[in-house]
Amino acid sequence: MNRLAKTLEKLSPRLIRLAPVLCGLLALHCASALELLPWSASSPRALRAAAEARLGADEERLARATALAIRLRTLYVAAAHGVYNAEDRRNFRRLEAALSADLARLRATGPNDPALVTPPSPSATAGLSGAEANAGIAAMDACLEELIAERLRVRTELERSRAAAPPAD
Amino acid sequence: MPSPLSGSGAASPDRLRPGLLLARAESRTPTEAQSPAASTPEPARPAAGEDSLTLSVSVRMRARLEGLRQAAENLKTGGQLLAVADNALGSMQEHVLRIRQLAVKASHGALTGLDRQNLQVEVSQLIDEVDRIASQTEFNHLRLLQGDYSRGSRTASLWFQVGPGSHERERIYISTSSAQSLNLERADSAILSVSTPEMANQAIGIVDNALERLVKERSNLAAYTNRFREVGELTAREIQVLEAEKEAPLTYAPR
Repeated sequence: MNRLAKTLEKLSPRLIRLAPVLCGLLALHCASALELLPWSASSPRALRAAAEARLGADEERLARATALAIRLRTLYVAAAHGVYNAEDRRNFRRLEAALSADLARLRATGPNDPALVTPPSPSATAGLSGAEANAGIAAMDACLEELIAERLRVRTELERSRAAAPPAD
Repeated sequence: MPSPLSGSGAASPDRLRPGLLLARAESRTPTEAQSPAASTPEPARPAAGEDSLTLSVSVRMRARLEGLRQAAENLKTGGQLLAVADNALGSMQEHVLRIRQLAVKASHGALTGLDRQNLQVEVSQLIDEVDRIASQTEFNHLRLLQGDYSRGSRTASLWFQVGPGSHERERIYISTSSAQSLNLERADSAILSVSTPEMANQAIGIVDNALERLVKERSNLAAYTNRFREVGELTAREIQVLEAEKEAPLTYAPR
């Protein structure tokens, strides 16, 4: 007991000097346990959370793309009607170009996705003809089917990931 | 934006602006050629318990519903176009009836040459007016009675998109109704003459044929109008059903 007291007495100045370091190490340990540190992202839980976040963002992006595709389809239904003059058709063309570009951006999976390679914007004089609009309706129907399939895939993955997660407690 | 309509009985020009039509369907304020990115509608988040099968059904249903709403707008503007054409033909018919009345009067032998000359002045004015109506009747800057939309036309065609799907459209034919096509004026610009009793008598037959053509054309337009009214009613009913369905969607979830 006497020896322990003597040792502590000898070590105490060193312990006091090392106290900040020890506290830092303790904090790091706690943060690691709580998966708050970058290297803890490799833990299964963090990986799963990241995957779920990515799938959630995908789902959101695809839902936006679906809404936009429906809007573009509605534009085509309007433009396929024959009562519009050349100026109206040029306006339709501009709207179509803007909506298509947004849709391509939303559907693209990366900066080099072929979906981003859209045809050059049409000249202001070439209006959207009724026949083109009619073909556009069919194209949008196909696009919506693709979006549905993609969303179902994302949703299935998300559900699978959630089902595989251990219970919270 | 599109220029205003002309022609009697035309709808407000706003109804024909593509942007506004879309705006009605999408409940947003459009400006032409703006990028819609900033105002992309909020996507419908999957409701609690919404399963994969419901997703595909609901997306298709939303697309159809928006298409139907637009088709209903199309039917309205189509009906207005037909009404403008019919109005113009009705007016032409009145003028042609008056020409017939004058021809009957001029074929009577008790009139002097001066009387016939005066009748001819009125006949010429009426034929000019018929020609003016034919060449100037337009809907949203589309000339309707010049033969652009007649059966043999190679210059233009008029299609009405009456449904939400591709190919759910109908072609409309409107014959030319110029004075020449009604034989009220010859190719060499000579106008129907009532200057002698014989010529006036011949004119009655020519005018009768013109009237027949006008009546036939108006019957065609009335048939189109009735047909599209029926389609409009069906469309409105389907919109109601789909909107009700949206409120209380069917669930296709396997039990």
